[in-house]
Amino acid sequence: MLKLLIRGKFHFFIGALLLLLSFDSLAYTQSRVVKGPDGKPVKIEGSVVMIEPEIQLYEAMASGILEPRQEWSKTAQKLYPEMVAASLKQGGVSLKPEFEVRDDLDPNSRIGQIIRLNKAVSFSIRRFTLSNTSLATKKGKQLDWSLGPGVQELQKVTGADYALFTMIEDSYSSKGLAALRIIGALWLGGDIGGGAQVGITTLVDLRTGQVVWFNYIYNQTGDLRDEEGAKATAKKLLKGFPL
Amino acid sequence: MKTLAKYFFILVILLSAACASTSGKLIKANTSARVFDMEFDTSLDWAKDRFGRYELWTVDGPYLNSLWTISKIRPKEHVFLTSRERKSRPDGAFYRTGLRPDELKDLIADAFRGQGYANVETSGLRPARIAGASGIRFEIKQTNAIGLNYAGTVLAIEKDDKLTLIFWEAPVEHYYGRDIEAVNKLMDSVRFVK
Amino acid sequence: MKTATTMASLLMALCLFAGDSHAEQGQADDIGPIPPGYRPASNTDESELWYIEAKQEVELKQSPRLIRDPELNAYVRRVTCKVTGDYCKDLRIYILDVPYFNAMMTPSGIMVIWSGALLRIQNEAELALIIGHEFGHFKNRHSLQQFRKIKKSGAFLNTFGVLTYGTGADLVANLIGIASLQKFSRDHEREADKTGFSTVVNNGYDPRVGALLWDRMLQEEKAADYGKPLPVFASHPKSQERRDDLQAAAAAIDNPSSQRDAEAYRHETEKFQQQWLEGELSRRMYQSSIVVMTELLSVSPAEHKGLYTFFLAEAHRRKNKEGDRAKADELYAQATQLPDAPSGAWREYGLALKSANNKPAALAALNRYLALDPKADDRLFIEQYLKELQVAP
Repeated sequence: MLKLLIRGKFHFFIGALLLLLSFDSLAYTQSRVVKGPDGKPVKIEGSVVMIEPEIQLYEAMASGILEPRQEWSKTAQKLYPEMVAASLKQGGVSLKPEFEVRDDLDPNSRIGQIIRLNKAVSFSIRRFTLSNTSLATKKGKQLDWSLGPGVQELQKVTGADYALFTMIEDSYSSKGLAALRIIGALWLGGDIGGGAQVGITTLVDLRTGQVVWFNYIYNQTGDLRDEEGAKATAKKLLKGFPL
Repeated sequence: MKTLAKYFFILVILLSAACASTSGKLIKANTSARVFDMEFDTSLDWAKDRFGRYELWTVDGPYLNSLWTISKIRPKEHVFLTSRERKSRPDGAFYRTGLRPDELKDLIADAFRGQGYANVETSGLRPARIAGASGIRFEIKQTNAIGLNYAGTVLAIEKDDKLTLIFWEAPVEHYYGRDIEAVNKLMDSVRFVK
Repeated sequence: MKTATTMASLLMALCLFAGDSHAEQGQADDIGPIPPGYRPASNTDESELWYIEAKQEVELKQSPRLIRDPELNAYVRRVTCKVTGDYCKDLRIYILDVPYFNAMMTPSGIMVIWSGALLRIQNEAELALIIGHEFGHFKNRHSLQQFRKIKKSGAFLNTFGVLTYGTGADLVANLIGIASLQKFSRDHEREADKTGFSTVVNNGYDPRVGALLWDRMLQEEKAADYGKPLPVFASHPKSQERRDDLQAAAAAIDNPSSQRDAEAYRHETEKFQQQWLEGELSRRMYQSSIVVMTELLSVSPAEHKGLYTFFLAEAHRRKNKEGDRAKADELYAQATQLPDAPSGAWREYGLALKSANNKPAALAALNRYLALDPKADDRLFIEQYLKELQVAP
């Protein structure tokens, strides 16, 4: 869409499409939780360790290109866990120190594979618990996935009962895109969006491997580059956390 | 997440076709299911999806377990049906008749390598006993681009100068061990039906 | 009119993001060579490029294709340090198990070399040449200029992230992404070739190896005379020109050294040969493999002739066109008489004898195969053949 505008090929139908957009119309959350035998969402009992989140921040250029930004990512990598820790502590959760995922972690170690398996499980949950899709094998169960007993390695190393895995990608307007946004808002009556924030998180029971809670967020207003933004993102991504 | 998720497809073209569908049809445990011109007995529940000459069964989602059936692959077709052999394109995992069992195994392993899997290893090559056809069974191990280790099992059957390929794979961590016994039983049950 | 005003604003906006970046972008002509220990200034596009690479380097370190063998890595590092001198401490080296000829050195000093290159390189002088060439691109910051071009063209996301190779899509499609990263201008290639060449000369190696290497690559390219050429290192429209330029440069040297250090190179790469030869076959590009294997066989030491004869036979057998079966059988028979033939040579020889109905010889060869390789994966099938061969006529 943006590319067409840049090349000056303006078509009326694009304008119509853009009019349909409003600031938060593309915000979306997909929180899923395991239900207990009483049919009610489980509440966690025990301590939680935050696995070092994978956060990548980009600058969204008007040409449509996403360029990774070092300073932003470094800031977010520090701020986001702090905000999560504050939020969880406020909810009365007992927290263990963040588990650092080292660059030289052997990918074939148990923990190396568990971290990679979590990605596969996260994408599967995201794909198959959308409101209009589910797996025929999971009918009637809101959340039915596991990382398996290998998670006990993590339990040993962290001493925690649950692990919180997080992946976030976020992009922000460049100057040029910001200019285009203003024009878009004035002329077309709608926001064309400045970039998107996508986050995915799982809470895993380290005694059994069961994924007890999952959340996926998508929005266009998140900003992980400062404290306030990180706090807001943490709030969004932790919404539905089974306290 | 698109950038990360793209490292996860098992077979690009096949999964993008698969993603077009929604929840899949339920195959109940302890029943027989018709799959193209065959029948499988299963002791597990599966969600099934079919498109063209592919059928995909999964329990937890294709990144976590996937049972693929690719039916009636013809000579000069890529074993995953992604392309055809031509004079200008002789290189590739194209099926032909008259292959030795180990050549058929190498063909399939090379097809996985061509999809981007690393450290592809095969073992346990043995004849498959299927009435009215000849085939091979073997085990396979491979690693995807982000380093998640998979293991699986393959059944390749030749009948009427065509190949039917049935394979299952799952992450070594937890998912393979959980279901391999049931999958082996399923593979042993595969039969052609009129 | 509202429309005119807003159209004008839109056009203005189009100009606003012509040089779109929060980071300063340098001009093309301010890129000069870098000194050892160089670090880009922060908030430049160069520093952002180094950051992108730092992220990819983490992935490289964990890549399933990474060859971690300490001795091989130490050897490649030794040669790299010889070639790059004071710059060596800035460089990180990654050897990937990828059966295509390629090597690259990124702007921040990551050197990636593929096993397909190590298979085709025959001596240390050639390795020094390749590394020297890549070093030329690195030292003169050609890649930064390339990066800026790619940024402008919008192909950004397709090319960065390719260092680790293999995203699950068709691998040959990956090569296109990698090749666009390495699409240097003619001048840059000439400059890098000069660096590579002087590296070879200054370190006392034979200056003639460059032309020989490129000639071999040219022959390999010619063998794949169908469809589109492979878009990597060797498949350069200018292979011929580069060979000729290097030949001329070598001819201009009086009393050229003849030091190639082939033995040292072979010694360091010996234990990977079988694995890399199998990788070559897994590409299923048999016409090219035949050229590669023929060349490797011709320069192989006596004590390994059996290995290379076997793999050349394999390439013929798998190609399976007119005359290949006969050629393969001839080579398998030869291999069984040569040192270091893999056990498979006896399998193939035995199966060929079986086809020719020479039962006693077939039995002997197939039994020999199973004796040499008790864990043979096709044991069950071979035992079946043995049964068939033992049935009285």
